[in-house]
Amino acid sequence: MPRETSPKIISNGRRYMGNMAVASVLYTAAVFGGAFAIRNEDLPQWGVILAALAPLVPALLMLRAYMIFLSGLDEFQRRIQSEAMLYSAAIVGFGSFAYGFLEEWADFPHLPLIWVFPALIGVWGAAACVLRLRYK
Amino acid sequence: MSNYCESAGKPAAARLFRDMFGAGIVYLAAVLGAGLAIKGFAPPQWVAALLAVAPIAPALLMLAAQLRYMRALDEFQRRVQSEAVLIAAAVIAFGTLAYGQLEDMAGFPDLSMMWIFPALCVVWSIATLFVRLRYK
Repeated sequence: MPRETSPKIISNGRRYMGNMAVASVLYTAAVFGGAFAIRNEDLPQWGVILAALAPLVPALLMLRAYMIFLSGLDEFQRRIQSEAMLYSAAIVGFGSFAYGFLEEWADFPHLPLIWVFPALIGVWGAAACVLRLRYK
Repeated sequence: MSNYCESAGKPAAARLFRDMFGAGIVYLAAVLGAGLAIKGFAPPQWVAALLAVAPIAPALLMLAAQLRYMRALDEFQRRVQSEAVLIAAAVIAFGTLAYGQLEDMAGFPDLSMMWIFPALCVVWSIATLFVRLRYK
């Protein structure tokens, strides 16, 4: 039976999608809620910090969903995932390093650190697709 | 077993140290040279951009040295290394997300992208120690 169609793998994938969907809804709510509170309420500095950090809780729920997903994968798929993450860390690490020098010395516009997380996830997803194609 | 691991890793570690040392000197020269050239000669933007990314070349030499080291390691040590990189990527991803939110919403000072790569390397080294201790 091909790996992709094994019922265990499919149910693992479905659970992952479900957990991610819930975490994403919470994340969106936390980002909008936090930004709204900071702009419209007169919060003290510690309140602003708490509101700014609130989206981390659902982001950690996403990490938890991913860890559960990872533990339900077979050895081959787990290897693809971790190799893809290594590529992503290398590409984003060097990319941000190069951009940092351009920012400092060549007057390129400042990019906020908030983009590192989506960049890591995006490159990781692309690398996982490429690796899967290569191993097929 | 641990003696075997150590004896297998020693020449590779010595080589890593030598390669890193060489690449480190080239890196320092590139950073200082490019910095001085940009500040001293005020070159046009495209030259400044080229000079600003020059330190990436020795940084890629460091990456090559690290990859060579990882290839010389046995399965167990390689697993420790890749687990440590994954932990470092997760820590940096969530750390930058948190700090990015604070930059964006709570008025924290802007940090340059340049710091991501060194932070990744430091967290990776610390995570290697922890992962190794856990497996012992």
